[in-house]
Order: sequence, then structure tokens, then C-alpha cells
Amino acid sequence: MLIYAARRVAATIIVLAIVAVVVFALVRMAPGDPAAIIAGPAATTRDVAAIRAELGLDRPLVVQFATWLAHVARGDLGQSFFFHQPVTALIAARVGPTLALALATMVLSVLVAVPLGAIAAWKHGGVVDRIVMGVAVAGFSVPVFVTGYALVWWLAVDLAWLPVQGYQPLAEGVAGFVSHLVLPTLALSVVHVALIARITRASTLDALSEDFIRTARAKGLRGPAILVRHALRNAAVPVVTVIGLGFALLVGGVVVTESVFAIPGLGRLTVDAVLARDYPTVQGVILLFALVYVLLNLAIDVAYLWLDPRIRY
Amino acid sequence: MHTRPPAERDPSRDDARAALSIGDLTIALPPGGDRDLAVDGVVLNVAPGEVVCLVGESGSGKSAIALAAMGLLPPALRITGGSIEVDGEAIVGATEPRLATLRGARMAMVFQEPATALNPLMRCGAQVEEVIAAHTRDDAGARRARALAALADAGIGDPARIHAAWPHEISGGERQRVMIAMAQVLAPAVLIADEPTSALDVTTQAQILGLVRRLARERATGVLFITHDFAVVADIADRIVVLERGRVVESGERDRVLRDPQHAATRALIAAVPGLDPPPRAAVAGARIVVARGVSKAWPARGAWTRRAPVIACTDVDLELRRGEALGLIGESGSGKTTVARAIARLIEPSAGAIELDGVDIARMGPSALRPLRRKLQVVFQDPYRSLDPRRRVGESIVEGPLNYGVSRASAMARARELMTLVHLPERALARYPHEFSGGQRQRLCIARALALEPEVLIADEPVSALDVSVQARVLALLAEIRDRMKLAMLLITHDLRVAAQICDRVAVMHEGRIVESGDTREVFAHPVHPWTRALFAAVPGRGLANGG
Amino acid sequence: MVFAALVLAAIVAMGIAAPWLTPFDPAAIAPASRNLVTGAREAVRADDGSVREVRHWMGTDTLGRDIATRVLFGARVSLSVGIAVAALATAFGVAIGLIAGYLRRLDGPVMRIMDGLMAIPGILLALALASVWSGGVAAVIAAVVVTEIPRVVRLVRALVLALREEPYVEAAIAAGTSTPALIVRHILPGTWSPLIVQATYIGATAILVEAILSFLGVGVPPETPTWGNIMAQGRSLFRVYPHAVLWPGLFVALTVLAINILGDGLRDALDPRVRREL
Repeated sequence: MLIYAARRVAATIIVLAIVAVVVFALVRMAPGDPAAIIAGPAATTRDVAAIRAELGLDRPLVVQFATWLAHVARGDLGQSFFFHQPVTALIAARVGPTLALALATMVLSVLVAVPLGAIAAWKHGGVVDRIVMGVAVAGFSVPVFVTGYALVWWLAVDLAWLPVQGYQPLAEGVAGFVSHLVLPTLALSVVHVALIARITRASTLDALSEDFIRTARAKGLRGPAILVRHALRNAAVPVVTVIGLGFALLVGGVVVTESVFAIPGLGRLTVDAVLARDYPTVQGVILLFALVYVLLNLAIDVAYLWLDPRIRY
Repeated sequence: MHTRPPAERDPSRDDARAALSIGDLTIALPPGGDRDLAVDGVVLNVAPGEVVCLVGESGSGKSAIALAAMGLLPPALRITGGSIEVDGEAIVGATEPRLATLRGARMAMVFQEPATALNPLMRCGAQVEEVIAAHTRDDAGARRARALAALADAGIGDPARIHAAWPHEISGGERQRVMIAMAQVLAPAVLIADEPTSALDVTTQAQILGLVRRLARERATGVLFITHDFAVVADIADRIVVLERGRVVESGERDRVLRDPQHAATRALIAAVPGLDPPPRAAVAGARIVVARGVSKAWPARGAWTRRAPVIACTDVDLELRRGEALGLIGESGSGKTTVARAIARLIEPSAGAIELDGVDIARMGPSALRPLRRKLQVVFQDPYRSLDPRRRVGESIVEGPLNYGVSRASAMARARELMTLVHLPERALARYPHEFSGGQRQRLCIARALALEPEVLIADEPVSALDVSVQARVLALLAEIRDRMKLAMLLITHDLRVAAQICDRVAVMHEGRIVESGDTREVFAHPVHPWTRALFAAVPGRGLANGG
Repeated sequence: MVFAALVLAAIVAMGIAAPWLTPFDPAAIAPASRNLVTGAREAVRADDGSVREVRHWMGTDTLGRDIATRVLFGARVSLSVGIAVAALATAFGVAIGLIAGYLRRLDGPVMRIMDGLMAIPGILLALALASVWSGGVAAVIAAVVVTEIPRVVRLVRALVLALREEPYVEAAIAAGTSTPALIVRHILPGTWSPLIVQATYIGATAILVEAILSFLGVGVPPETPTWGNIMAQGRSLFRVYPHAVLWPGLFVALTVLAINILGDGLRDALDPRVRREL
């Protein structure tokens, strides 16, 4: 177990190192002087020279990478020349809204999708199944900004029930916080509900075809007990896996949703930074999201131990 | 295990009420099948304390009867007539809630695959207790006590350990005992056992058969025991019901049916059990073609950082194989026999030892050095359904080897057509795809493919264990015929002593990765020396069967 | 399934026939007819002086360009991005996946690199790459290909490892088949059906991502009509003129939906065992 943990952490570090290489290489892939690119379009010749000296661009690439990595490891993600702030400060200021949106979406999606998927599997081929599956495919296909705008048009513009855009921190009142969060959460949840409902249905269906379900029926158990205790429990591992992998999708959705709803979160920051070619900020945000993704999936791997006693590392 | 003394008292005789009573049962198959009815007018009674064996080939409808009795028929199969009564209560037409009340309490079932019949994510004890919780108002303490008692009744020496164990932590035999404990815990009137021992090793099988018989007697439970294997029937049945294509073709007391079978189907099923007496054979004096010395295989534990001990599959195995000789490598699952075969075929590289093929040591050879030698040694695998590339025509699979060695396409195809005659299949089979053939036909195609290269050694890894009993005999006969006609050396891997007795000149018995005994087949079968070999022979079912030696 | 195929065929035909389906130039700016609503009619004076009435089926945008025309031309970009990404990502993915599945020593390093790439949320990586490679359809295609390759590699590698264990593959090895021949005859054919299914899903994703990138202003340059660009342009006046966003959005959704349904159908038809790789 301990050995497994050590191995898993080692693998995580390797993955993160590769992420670091990719992120580092990002700026070097752009045509032109990396110092000028990092400094941003508004920089003066002096700024560029200063950066060139700081990053040691005259030294070999490996040394440059090591220097950069050492900075990152110390929590120094560099200076945003567009926002005129350290990148870490920028990220810290923007993390709240994104966290609220992501958590609300995950909770809503799981609460809606798991029962839907399970019922669809239980009534396999029935009306509920067909509707759930149809909606799931559709939900998977509609881009989040289309859902977002459609919802805004309907609930905010036409019916005027909810604010069109913006964000209000929790500290400024629960009602404002919730009412601003409802539309973006709904828009972002559609695709996750589709994803999780699909995988729940598929893996529950697999579990229901197992021999031990026949055993459970032969024991005289009733439908709900069979579905929850035997089928859903055995379907949990793939569902949790998808929730973990879905984080990547969630980040993509957050980027778009925050742009549609003008939420001052990390997604919006990313887009602004990309548009302004503010690469230190882009690098910082990518590193942060990749770190969260890797840690989340590490946590899920550990959760497998609890979900499935057969897994022994 | 041992021959039962003839039934001097039959507890069913005086009992007015049958445990299970099936009257004129008819079950329809979905349209488009090979017949209209899965089960056609079946009449069958099981008295309390009696073991009735329902015998038939796969597809004869025996499992449909079992599932119908439990009210568990899949929706595609419909009961169109007749009655089923368990302990006097009608099953046909009962509502689902009523059936759920009966299942587990008055009727219970044990399935074929103990590996998959238990929920992998629930401790064994909890699965037994679930039955009690579903049907009684016992509190947790009482449930636990009853579950432990049931496990002990099912012959588990250490009930507390099994109660707390996950299904994957215990052996196949223990799992089947847990299934039986689960079925027996509420003392049902009827126990239906659907091939409960065919997935188990012989030694375990013998113990489970003894357990089922004991429980039937002690608890006066009526047992409907479903099997295809007359060797098992001979050991366990009070009465026998033979099924063919959904109809009962013969039924009666065990000894009468075994001694004097009336119907051709019964005779065929009895004849399908190969004899345990090896026929006398002339000694083979061919040159040695395969010599294995000290072959060992240990699988490294995974991962660079783990320090777990490697898994040892076989240790220090010595084998010799002569031209024209068939050597049987016998062992239970996990004994390492397949590993030895795969090492000799160089599908895996042995960790230690030498393997000489026709005088050349191939144990450490790289793939390209090995390739020219491969044509001398061919393999027939266990699972005929996965042994032929599903996307290629059969003919393509058969000529692949010869084409690899530069044989012209025309002559390879001509040879393939000859081989079809040899394995008793039409030439046009070459133009068809594997899925168009039955398991037995596919295995014959695999044999033809192996022979296409005119090998000097043929390794057959459990070649008949995935096949129906009647088909097994034909494939075995084909292998024997080929051995005699082509004078090749054959290494037959099997768990089945009867199969080995049929075609092997010599046998080697494996246990826990080592060869514990080897010698002339007749000699070993007549006078097994090693304790393990003796145990293996003692466990073979159906020793009382007329042709069973 | 059939319906989805018909919808997709209609959209493809629309894209190909775009210039003949509409009287407007997708880039023609007409200050006089800005922000016309869906179905608005307009009188146009032709060169010979005659006046005829034309209809803006989906209205016009803030520069007076006909949205229906731009949506038709946008189909070209979206579909070519989808097809190009599906083809390129599959081709690279198969090559890398075969290497990982067959060369033991390269398996670890290759898969760690793929894990690293997959750890970066796809849209984020595509955003950054498209921005670094600065604009153009080719940059968008390359960016999405890079993010999709790891998924194909994982699928191919898993399939290869499973196929290698099949008795029929071992029988072929025992029959003296060399490794290259083995891959061509037995391994690759076994990967086709799941790969075709995967490729359709990749195509759908690519169309979606292209729309998102263009919508965010990092994708195809704004002059080129793409569905994402039309929506990006309509964003500012969305509250007053929602049609400029909703029409192209409907087409993105419809196209992606049709491809996904087609993919599901193909999956069920080709191999009921292979489920969608997520």
C-alpha cells in the first residue's frame, strides 16, 4: 500500500514534469524572440532586455528550463506584463468564482445524472431510457456557449427571472451569489449530466448482466435492493473515473462559460491572457489546472481502494 | 468420489407432497431458432431428500427448466403451458412480489460459475446474511449467527474467516460452498443446482458433490441437479431424467438407467464419458524430438519499485517427447501445465532451463532465429472461439503458415483442401468465416491449421475442454488418428484423466508447478505412487460407471 | 441514425454548394442593412437598374452581412476542420499507439508523455497552441490534433495489448509470421472498427473546439466566416439581436449532434462490445 502510494506519487511527478516541459516549450514554439513574447506587445526594448537577462536566454535551453522550473517550484510563476501583477496574485484573486462554478456544476451533475442513468439502465429499452439517452447525446453535442446564450435569452432576457451576466461573491449576500450562479451552472451542467448519465447507464447495464445479479434475484431480493446494492455499487468505478476525467472537460467549459456570463474567474483570465499574448499568465493557469487534474485523479485512484476491494496495489 | 451404497431407503416414497412438481411444462423459444419449443411437455417430480439429475447436452432445455422453476426465465422465453409447483405452491402465473418471497426461502439455486455468481464488492458473510434479511425479521446478531452456522454446514472449516472475506480472496471451491450456504440457510424445500461443479477442479468437485448429497439427506431438501456429465450423475443421482431437444426421453432410478439405458440419447451421453482404463499400446521407439531440462518460469512482480516475490508458474520441469508418441501433461488449474506448454512452444521465454527441439536449444532464442524452427512445432489452443482470426476466411488462416515459409499459394491451398478431408470438413469450408462454424468444427479447423506446416510436434492445450461432451469424443478420436497416421509427437495438456487415458502413451502429473509423477499411462493409472496423484484418481467422478474403469 | 446521416449530408452539401445557394457575398459590408432581423426583406438594385426583393433568412450582422450566407460558408470551415483533425489525429495516434503497444522499451516514456498532454485540459491547450501559432485554420487544426492524439494513442495501445493476447495471434506467431506481417494481417484490422468510431467523435469534438476558439477570438481570423466567428460578432448585441448568435449556434449543435448519433450508430453496428472511450 505504501509502496503503491510512493509509486503513484512518483508517476504523478513524472506527469507533472512533462506538463512543465510542454508549458515551457509553449512559448518557445512561437515564432520570434521569446523575451519579446513573454514581455508582451506593450513592452519597451528595456523590458525585453531585462527579461532576456532574467531568463538567461543566452544560455542553453536546458539551463533555461531548470531556471524556470526552479522559479515555478518556489511558487513564482513570473510577472504578468499585461496586468502588471505577479501571476500568482492574479490567480489568487480569480480563483473564487471558478471554484464556486465548478463545484456547483459537479454537485448538480452528479445528483441529476446518476439517478437518471441508473433508471435508464433498469428500464433498459423503455421510454425513460430512450428519452435519457436522446437528451444525453444532444447534451453532449450542444456547445456550452449555445446552451448559455439560449438560457440567457429565455430565463434572463425573455422572462427576466435571473441576472443576465456577472458574478457576486458569497460575502456580498447569498441571494445575489446564488442568482448569479444559476444560469452558468445550468449551462455548464448540461454536458456533464449527459456524460455522467451515459456512463452510469452503460456501466449499470454491464453490472446488471452479471451473474451475481441473477444470484441476487434467486435470493429473493426486490428490484430497488438489486439496483442500488448490487448493480450501482458495481458500476461505481467507471462512473468515478469519468467524473475525474471530466475535470478536463469542466475546465474547458469554465473557460467558455465565464466568457459568456462575464464571470471574473480563472477561465476569463485565461482568455484575456491568451488574447493579450500574456504568456506568463497563460503558463501559470495551465500549470495550475494540470496540477489540480493530476491530484484529482490521484485522489480517485486512492478512492478505488475503497470502492473495489479487488484492487490492491 | 466413492460409490454410494444402493439406496436402501427412499425418503420420497411415503411423502405425499413433492418438493418440486413440474407438470407438462412447455416453454416457447423466440421465433427464428432451430426449434419452436425450448421445453416441450416436461413432467418431473422431486421428492424431499431426493436428488434428481436432469441430464442433457447444452441446448437441450435443462437450464430453461431450472430458471422457470425459480421464476427467473428471461423475458424472451415464455411459458406457454403446464404447471410448476414448489412445496405445493404454484410458480407459473405467480406475481413477481410473491416469487421474490419464495426465492431464497422455499426454493434456492446454485449456479455454475462460483467466480461470477458472488457479488465481488460484498463480503461473503454479508451476501449470506442478505438472504436472511430479505425473508426474516432477525436482527443483526441473529443473522450473523445463522450465516456462520450455514457456512459451517456447507463444510467450511473456518466460518468466521470466510464470513469476513471478499469473494476474490477465497478459492473456487470455497466460493461454491458460500453459494450453497446462501441457498441452504433458510432450509428451502427445493435446491436447484445448475452444473455446480463443472467449473471446479476434480478434487473440489468430489467434495461439493458429497456436500450436496449430505445436505439433501439431512435437510430433506429436494435437489434438482443439472449436468451434462454422466460420470457426475453416477455419483450423485437417486433418479435420472434425460432431456433431448426439450423433451424427456428417458427417466428412472439411477441404477436402472445406468445399467440398462433405453434411449439412444442416454446411451450416447453415457458413451461420451471416456473410459478410465487406458487401452494397451505398443511401446514407442521413435527418436527424441523435444527434450526439456529444468524448465522454470517465474513471472516478475510488476513495477520497478515493488519488492514482492515473483510469481512462480513452474519449477524444474523435465520432459521428453519421442516421434510418434503422445505425452499427457495432467494437472488441475494453476498447476503450471499450460505454462510448460507455452514455454516449449516458445510463446513465452522460460526463466531457466533448456528446451531442445530436434537437437537445437531454443530456450533463449530471439524471435528471428526462432522463426525458421517454428514450423516444426505447432499448437492447438483451448478456446476454439478465439483461435481463428474472425476477420479472415478460414482458408487464409490455414495457408498463412505455409506462405510464411515460401510455399506457393497454389500448393498451400491444395494442401489445405487435403487437410479438410483429413479433419472431416468439406473443402468449401475454406472460403467461409470462423463464425459460421460450431465449436467442434472450429477446433478441427485449428487442428488443420496446425497440420498445414507438417510439424513434427503438436502441442494441444486442453483441446476439448471448451466443447460439448459428444463433440469431445470426436475431436479426441481425430487427434489420435492424426498421431497414428502422421507419426508426430503430441503433447496433450489436460485436467481430465479420462481424456489422457484415451490417447496418451505416457503421462506426467503436475502439482504446484512441479512434475510429481510420470511414466507409462497404464502403469501410472494402475498404480499411482505420489499422494497427489492418488488423490486425483480418487476424486474422478463416475468410477462406478460401466465404461468408467 | 438514418436521419442523422441525412442531416449531415445536407450540411455537407450546403457547404459545398454555398456560393450557388445565396445571392450575397459573405464578406460584403452593407452599412444600410445592419442588424436586420430573421426573415427581413430588402430591395436590391441590380446593375441593370431593375429592383428585386431579396430575403435575409437569418437576418444580418452588425456590419450588414447576410448571416445565412455566412453560416453557409462557415459550414466549409467547420467541416474541413472536423475531417482534417479526425484524419490527422487518427493517423498519428495509430502510429504512436502501435509503437507504444509493440516496443516494450518505448511504451513507458510514450505513455507518460501522453498522460502529460492529457493532464492539460484540452481546450486550454488548444487555446494556448492556437494563440502561439497565431491564427489561421491550419493553426486551429494543428492545435486540436495535438490535444486529440493522446486519446487515440491510448485506444490503439489498449487494443494492441488485448489483441496480442488472442490465441489466433499466438497461432500466427507459432506459424512463423513475422512481426510486421502480424501487425498488418491481424493487429491493425482488429483496430479499425473502434478507430472509425473514435474518429467520428474526434471530428465532432474538433468542430466544437474550432467554434469555441473562434468564439473566444483565438481561432480562425474574424474575416473568415465560421460559425464561431459569427457568434463572436453577435455577442455584443445579443440582448437586442439574439439571432446572430442563436442561428450559427443551432448549426454547430445540429452538426455535432448528427455526427455523434452517427458515431453511436457505427459503434453499435461495428462492435457492440467497444464502448465510447472517454
